[in-house]
Amino acid sequence: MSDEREELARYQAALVAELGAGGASDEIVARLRACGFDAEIDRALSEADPRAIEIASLLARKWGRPAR
Amino acid sequence: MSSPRAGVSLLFEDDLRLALLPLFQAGIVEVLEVSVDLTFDGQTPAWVTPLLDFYAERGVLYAHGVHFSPLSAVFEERQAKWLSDLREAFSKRKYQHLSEHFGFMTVPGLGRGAPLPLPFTRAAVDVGRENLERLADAAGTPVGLENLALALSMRDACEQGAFLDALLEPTDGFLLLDLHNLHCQIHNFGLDPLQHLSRYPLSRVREIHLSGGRLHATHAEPGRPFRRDTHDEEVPDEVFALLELAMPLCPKLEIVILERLGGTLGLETSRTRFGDDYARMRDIVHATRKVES
Repeated sequence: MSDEREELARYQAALVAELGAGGASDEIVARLRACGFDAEIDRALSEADPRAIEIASLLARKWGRPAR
Repeated sequence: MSSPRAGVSLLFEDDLRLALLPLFQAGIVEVLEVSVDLTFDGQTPAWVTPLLDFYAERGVLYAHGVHFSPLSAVFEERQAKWLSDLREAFSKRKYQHLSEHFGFMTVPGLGRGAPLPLPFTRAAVDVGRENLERLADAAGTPVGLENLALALSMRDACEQGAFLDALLEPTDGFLLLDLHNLHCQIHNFGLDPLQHLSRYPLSRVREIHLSGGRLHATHAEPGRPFRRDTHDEEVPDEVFALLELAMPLCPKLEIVILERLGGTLGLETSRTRFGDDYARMRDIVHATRKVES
């Protein structure tokens, strides 16, 4: 797997985990930014709308199911 | 433009069956789209099989996938099994095309999830292109992606059209343009409808979805409700207006589908309004045909 793809996989795993953990939107974004993602991903996180993060967290907690 | 046809999305709940029945009886459902994942386990209700066969035999049955997760960075055994099930489903019945959703739902350790957006990066485009090739190989039909309602930022919303175009280009895939999803982004980020529509690769649109959703008051900004794609309400007037705006701009459009979540049509009044939405959508589709011809 390329470095870029590994970084994307790391971001996706962290996003799902932190949205699933819940909390206030700014706390979720802060936890994600603390992971130290590359510049493109960090910029996306810095621009995230708190309402969208709240809805994404709600959806992740509602629909998330562990792999069987 | 070809002559687009109107149809409905088929899920298997009883209240949706009751709402669809008068439309089927009136012979006005011209095409049928099924959430193909629901057919994988062979447990489809008895009333569904003849309906799917009827539309398949007439060359107007379409497949919509839900759980493949085309933009998951790690390709998993779960997705390989999904492709195998898809291949089997497509060998049993003739589908005209297959659509899936933009975004990712699962990561290793997670078997189910909500569709989530991701930044427009080279790695994400490469992942999506590989998975579209897998989908095309398994389906043996044209494959496409549906735009996602949820965007994490204004940039996410404004870049999704170009992102989709980059994903679809190598397989010459099509865009399933969900107009309620587009409406959610227009509402949530204060975008101009025509300008936002034009950000999407409209020359790739083969299919349009219409549905309803609802406003959600958030803790983050209680005064600015966020529109969600919940499929549990009537189609808003703004979405019908988007249909009238979009149809002449989509030269390869084949079908326009009304979606509704099962379990949301328990009242007879809601089933009647669903039928009214279908009639209104079909009228617009047919009126556009007349203008074009």
